[in-house]
Amino acid sequence: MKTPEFHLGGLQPLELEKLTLPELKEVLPEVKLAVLTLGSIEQHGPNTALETDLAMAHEMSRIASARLYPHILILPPIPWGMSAYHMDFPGSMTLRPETVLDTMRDIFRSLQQHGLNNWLITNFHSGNEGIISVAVQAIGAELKPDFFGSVSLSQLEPDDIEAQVRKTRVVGHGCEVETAELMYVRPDLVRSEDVAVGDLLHEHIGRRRRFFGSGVRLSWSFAEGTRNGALGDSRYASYEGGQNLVEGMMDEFMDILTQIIEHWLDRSEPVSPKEKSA
Amino acid sequence: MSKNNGKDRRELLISELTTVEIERLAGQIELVLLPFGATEQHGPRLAIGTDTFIADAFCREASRRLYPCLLVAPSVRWGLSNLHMNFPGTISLSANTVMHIFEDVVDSLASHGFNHFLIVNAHGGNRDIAKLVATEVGSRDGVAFMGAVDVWDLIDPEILERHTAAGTGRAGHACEDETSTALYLCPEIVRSDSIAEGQIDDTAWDFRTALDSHGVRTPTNMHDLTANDTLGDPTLDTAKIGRERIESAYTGLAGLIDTITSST
Repeated sequence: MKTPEFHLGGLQPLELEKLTLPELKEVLPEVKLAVLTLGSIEQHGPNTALETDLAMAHEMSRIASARLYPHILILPPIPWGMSAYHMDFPGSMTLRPETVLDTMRDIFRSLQQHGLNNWLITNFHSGNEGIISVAVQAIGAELKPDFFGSVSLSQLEPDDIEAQVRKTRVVGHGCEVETAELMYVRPDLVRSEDVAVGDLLHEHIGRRRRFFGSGVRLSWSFAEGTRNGALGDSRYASYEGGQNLVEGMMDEFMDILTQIIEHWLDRSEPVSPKEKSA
Repeated sequence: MSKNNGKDRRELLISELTTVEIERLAGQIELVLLPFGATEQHGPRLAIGTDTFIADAFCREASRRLYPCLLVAPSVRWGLSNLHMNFPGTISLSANTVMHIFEDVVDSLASHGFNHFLIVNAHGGNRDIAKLVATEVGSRDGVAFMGAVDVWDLIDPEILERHTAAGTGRAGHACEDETSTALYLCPEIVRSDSIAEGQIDDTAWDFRTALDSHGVRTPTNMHDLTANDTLGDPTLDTAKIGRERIESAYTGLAGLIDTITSST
């Protein structure tokens, strides 16, 4: 991954895949929380690459891990998520809900065998929120970890900053807000020369908007609401706007992590990592 | 197959492309590579993600060299690693979960018209499941070809024999072969200053070898086979050996792709 180095401030995240066995053993007693990102590989119009949501969640998790080194262990992310409603656009990929649950269960069960019993799922894709909620409930009840939670990072945007960056009415995917955020986090995934206004099908969006926030859920394909897969107008996206938003979200995320550590993890009995049958 | 030798050659990763770019390229794609790795300890000299990094780097470079014929899917970063669970950090999926992931990956891509798939596996423990997945998923609607190959099976057998003769003869995991390969493909994950020859249990090794000679596959816990989860002697690694192996594997892959695309 290619987070610009300056986001990490010269610090290194703690990433399971990049450690050797002795390096992991040495640091394991300090690890308080294992973080699993559920990503998505789905179209974001002409504006940004398919792994936009994966990159946002994974990179923000890495930045948090670097800032709290060595307490946050980053697991290999699940790149795909729940993207069935984007499948009308080439390149989009989706898992079935049971595949997401099976994969998570196997991963967390593996961690449990190593004495790692505090887990956090991070996510930047609203379509994943339902399955994550189910996972935390069902896998939590099944495996009984010491701590298990999730954070929807995309919901941490500070309202006042979002209001400054947002220039259009219908945002939330492949729009000026998301494109700006990615400009700051992974500029290599943004197609600055191709960014375009969302080619909206207003009638359909209008019908759906009637039910926004009403408790009603409607099945749909993104192609019914936008011809090019984008919303908003990414031509307004700027690096500075993205920087303000992401740093605002990171402040909130760091605050959440600090609360989890102080109010849950540091209160429970310390779990000693053990090598079974060693 | 058409090979572009111009300067615009680049890696074609689904994850790093936009939907517009995928649509534009779709007609030229002959095969989608599905890198398959593992998250399991590799002793003191290699990183836990070694198999994923090798599969991923190999497929990326193959895609660049054969631009624009090969599209690379996001790596499946965990595999069957039950035999390594005694060591912290190892993550193992069940065979069913692996099957379901590949079903979803292939169904997703087949819905966009891609119909030739090749799993490129870099983890010994995935060998059987990768071939089973190819057999099962390859018969699904919309799939014209699906195969699975292990990276080392793409290497010229003469080169393999020569390296085996020069090595310890007890390679297979976190060994001189794998370390050499990593030194060439992803040197940042090799800790060259760590000295660790495999502490192999002779009785367990001989038992496994004897069963192998009968064609019997049985789980042997890596912890029973080697005290430090290293086989062979990774200190015999050189980037030169790695280059010879992997360059040969690229040649092998190009030949395999010609075979696939000329008859399917």
